[in-house]
Amino acid sequence: MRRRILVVDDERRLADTLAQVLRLGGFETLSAHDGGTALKISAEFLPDLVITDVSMPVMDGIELATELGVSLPDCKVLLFSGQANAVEVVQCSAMEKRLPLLSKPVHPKDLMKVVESMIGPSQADDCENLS
Amino acid sequence: MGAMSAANPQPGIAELCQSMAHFSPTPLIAVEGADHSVSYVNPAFTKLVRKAKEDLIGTPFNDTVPSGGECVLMLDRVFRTGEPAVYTRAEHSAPNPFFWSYVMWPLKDKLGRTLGIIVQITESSDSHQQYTSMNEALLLGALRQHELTQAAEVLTRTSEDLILRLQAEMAERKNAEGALVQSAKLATVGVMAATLAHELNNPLESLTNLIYLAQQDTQLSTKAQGYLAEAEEELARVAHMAKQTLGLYRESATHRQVLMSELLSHLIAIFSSKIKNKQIVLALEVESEIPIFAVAGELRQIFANLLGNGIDAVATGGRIRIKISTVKGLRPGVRVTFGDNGAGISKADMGRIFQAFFTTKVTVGTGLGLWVSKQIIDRYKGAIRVRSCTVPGRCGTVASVFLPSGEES
Repeated sequence: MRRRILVVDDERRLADTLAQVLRLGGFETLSAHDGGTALKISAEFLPDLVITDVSMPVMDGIELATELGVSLPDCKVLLFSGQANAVEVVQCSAMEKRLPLLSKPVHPKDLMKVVESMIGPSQADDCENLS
Repeated sequence: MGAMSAANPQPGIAELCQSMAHFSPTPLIAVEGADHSVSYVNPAFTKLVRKAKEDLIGTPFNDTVPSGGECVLMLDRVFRTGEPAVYTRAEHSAPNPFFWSYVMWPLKDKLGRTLGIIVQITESSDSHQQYTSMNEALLLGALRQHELTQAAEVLTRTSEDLILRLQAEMAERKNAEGALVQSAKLATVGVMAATLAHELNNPLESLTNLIYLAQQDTQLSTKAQGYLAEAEEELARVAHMAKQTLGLYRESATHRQVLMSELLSHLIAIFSSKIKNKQIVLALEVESEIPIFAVAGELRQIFANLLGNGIDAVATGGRIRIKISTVKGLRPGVRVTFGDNGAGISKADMGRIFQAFFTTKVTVGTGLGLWVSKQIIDRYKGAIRVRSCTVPGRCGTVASVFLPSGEES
């Protein structure tokens, strides 16, 4: 089974190209351009990882992560921020959880490394899923 | 109170201050008499000193604030001369150094007699969140302006000639608060940098992705592949520059044990082409060292600025000497000394080198390098000292940075 990733960013081009990059890396990907749509898509798509922008109108990345923590507790979240001076992890108080954070821009190859460190290679080991 | 003489009744200090400063977020206190006894405190002040208004009114000023005793001399002077004064001191008793700034100006009646003195107190911790505090300063500045204008309107109704005097004093106080102007300027940069970073990093990410995607096309001619590789290189340069200039550069925010010798060797390698072009003789001497617990990227930024300044300062064939040594004692750490035989820094410039926007490199300088370096050094509770000589024949500059080893807590 292929690992699934949902990319969320209000910058459409960014979200779509990033999804495309990850698709080339062998992942099954979808993109969303706001938090609400991301939640709706996740419910059916059941992603292993959601890569989300931090500052988005209406629902920001942290709120989205909090919601996902409730609806899809197994889904990992990677925050992707455009702010300079960003930290490496964000303490999400609502979830009592620390979320990893990556600063834009990141080269696709480096991003791939981070993604694999979080959810493993694009093709999941089937034996692992059976257990 | 009923039957008044023809003269305008003069409102008391407490009354005047009440309408002017009651809602100010900045602590404000008014004193009168030769012993500077407190006649008015605003709510922000009672909050600052954690005492009730009733316990403060009527007490001598030097009992009310931490460094009150030292302020009294200044208050005497303001009382005597009628000139405003600013007094700043660092408070080391707190876990982080605090800076108390006292801005004092006289409150005069229409005959020019000093009725009392208004003291405005600001307290700032310089440890973290540079941007936040800068933004606050800007906001407060605007807010205070607004409040003063409003207060002035209220006062107009009570006593018109006093108002004119108050307004003049506000203007004077504004001069005394040149520092606020500076922080407002910095706030603008802070906001600008954050906004720019956000606005730039998004398209940079898209561009990186697009180039990467284009590179995956197997039909591409060798020529097009070459162009894309070049585009990717240039893009990496822009991305790196955006990270370096917009906000304090952090490729990783994790603290770790950093060896200054490794960090400097790496930096020298980055600057090697510049060093070679100018035929600079560079020596790195490691006397002894202990690791510093810090964010490597932040330390790199300090020394990249110092090294860059050295390279810019020396003539072709100039010399730069970097020495690393251990500092023992109560606060162990490492001292890194940068010496160059460049033109040196003039006495007039020396006082301003750590100010934001101050640069002597008219065409290439941002005036932010040493300022940012100083911020980082302060955050690590380190120290930087710069000595310079402009006498021909023995001119040059030595910058000495001390960084405490820091504790892994």
